Amino acid sequence: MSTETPEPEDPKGQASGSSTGNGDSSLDDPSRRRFFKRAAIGGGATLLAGAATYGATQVSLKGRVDEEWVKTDETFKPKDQRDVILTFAKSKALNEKHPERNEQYSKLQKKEFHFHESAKTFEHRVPWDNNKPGYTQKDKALHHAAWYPLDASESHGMAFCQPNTRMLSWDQSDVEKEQYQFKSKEEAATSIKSAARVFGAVRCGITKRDKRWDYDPLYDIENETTLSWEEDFPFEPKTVIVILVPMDYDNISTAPAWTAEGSIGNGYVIMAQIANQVAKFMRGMGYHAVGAGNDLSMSVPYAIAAGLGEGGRNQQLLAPGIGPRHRICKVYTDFEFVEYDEPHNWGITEFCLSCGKCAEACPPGALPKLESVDGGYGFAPTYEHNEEEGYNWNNHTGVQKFYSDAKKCFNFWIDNDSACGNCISACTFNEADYWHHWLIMGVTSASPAFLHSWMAELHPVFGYGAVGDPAKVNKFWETGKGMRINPSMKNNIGTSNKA
Amino acid sequence: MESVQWFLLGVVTTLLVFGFAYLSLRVKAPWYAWAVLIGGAVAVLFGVAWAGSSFLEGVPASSAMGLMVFCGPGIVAMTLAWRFWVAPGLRAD
Repeated sequence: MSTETPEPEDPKGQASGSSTGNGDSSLDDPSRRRFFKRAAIGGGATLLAGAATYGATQVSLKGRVDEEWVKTDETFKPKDQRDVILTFAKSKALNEKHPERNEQYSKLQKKEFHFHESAKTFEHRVPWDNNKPGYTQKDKALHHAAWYPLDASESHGMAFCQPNTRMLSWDQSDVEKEQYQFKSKEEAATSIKSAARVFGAVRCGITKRDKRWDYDPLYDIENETTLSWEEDFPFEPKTVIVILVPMDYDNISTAPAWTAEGSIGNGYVIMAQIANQVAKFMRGMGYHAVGAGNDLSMSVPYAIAAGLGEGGRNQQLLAPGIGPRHRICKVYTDFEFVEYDEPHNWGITEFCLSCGKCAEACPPGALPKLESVDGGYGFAPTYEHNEEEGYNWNNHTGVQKFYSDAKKCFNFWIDNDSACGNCISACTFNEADYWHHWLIMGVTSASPAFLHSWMAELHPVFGYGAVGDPAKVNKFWETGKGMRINPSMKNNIGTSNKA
Repeated sequence: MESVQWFLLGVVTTLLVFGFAYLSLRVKAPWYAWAVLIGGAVAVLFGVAWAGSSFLEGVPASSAMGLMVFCGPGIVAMTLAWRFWVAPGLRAD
């Protein structure tokens, strides 16, 4: 390999620093000029490459509009809230009406189990053990404290789909008589989302009310009576505002320990708070509005329709950037002069077909594993005992999605005396807010399916997604060490990054 | 801390750009030699950025894997490019 041809020397025989008629100027040295020229080209190319990578990632993260996001078959019909597992477990009357459900589950799972009797002592049954990380008095105290505002406001029932709780009341007596008129649909959408943001939403989308996803009939667990949308609900909803509530990464990573209830319970409290506030905001502008948590409808399809994410194997909404690490609340309103969001596709559901990390981490095996029939993805359940008459009572069949045996999931909650959260913590899309995770999310959207299983396997190899790890409990309890400024909110206080 | 990391990576990237510009004047090498050398440098920078962010995130396993998966091949690529194309060219200078 030869060196570059030497530059011609100047008449004085100097290699550089030649003079001009105006005096010395090192810039007149051809080799220096070439050096700076190449450095400039290199710097420009570096900037261009960086900008192109950033731009491509941003485009990928926007996803593609997907109007055909849902497929239903001829058996599909709206879900009866009485068949929702949390509602059923909380209701004495429904358990008395359907004793066969408890009997069949106990027989098939070979263990004595009663949904309602178990639910009565839930979260207060197992004594703490101060020698077991994640199950100490401190963890139990965090658990109960996280939920306490909902107990204090007599609204805990919304987690079990109880409609018309104090925080999420159907009362419309405070609707302003004068209706605020927005100049455009875009202004209306932006204003609503700005309000949701300041109240603490991590994502917000707006979609049309779709009766397919509303529970019908609704069921009032406290009064053991069905409710009708036409006769009991205070107005005819036209629009549903869907809001995602953030959950703490370090806390949910402690799943399935009691510690994880810190972010789960807190998520529910913020759900009720934001839904309450946004509904009040709408009523203050002269429109009817009712906030909802788990009640009124299935939250995941509404969130997909509002363009916030896709349905995952773990039965949850997987939102780009945070995966399943959020809670969903909704606001039903009759306001309809608003720009609706569109459902999007990022290739997330497709990734779930090749991943299955949540199913591997599920303690009772309630989630469909990769080796399930059709990977657990279809129009009806394929899990164990699904062929038994009446065993699938809790599933909403007839829509293409992943199907889980939520009865086993609930059974584990009872055994654990706390919700679980493993399927959130183990999810490949559950990532903290760092640039490399956003990059991988962008790459995931653009990458071919055959790479997905390989990418899923790398997730634990890189140290992510482990569950049941006492070290994570200890790590969580260190997150407040020396805290003066909450590092997880460092960019969220006082700026939307648009000011 | 992440801002400090980006600043330092910017400084290193700038120095690398100047280094390569200087090297391009001293050494005449085929295009693929430059591709391997620059590609290796990019991999090393990417690995350092990955490792730094993973460390700040509190996931040392990801940090270690980032160094191994990205920086490792990058260093190998740069070493080979230096050994077979750059160093002979410099010696002939």
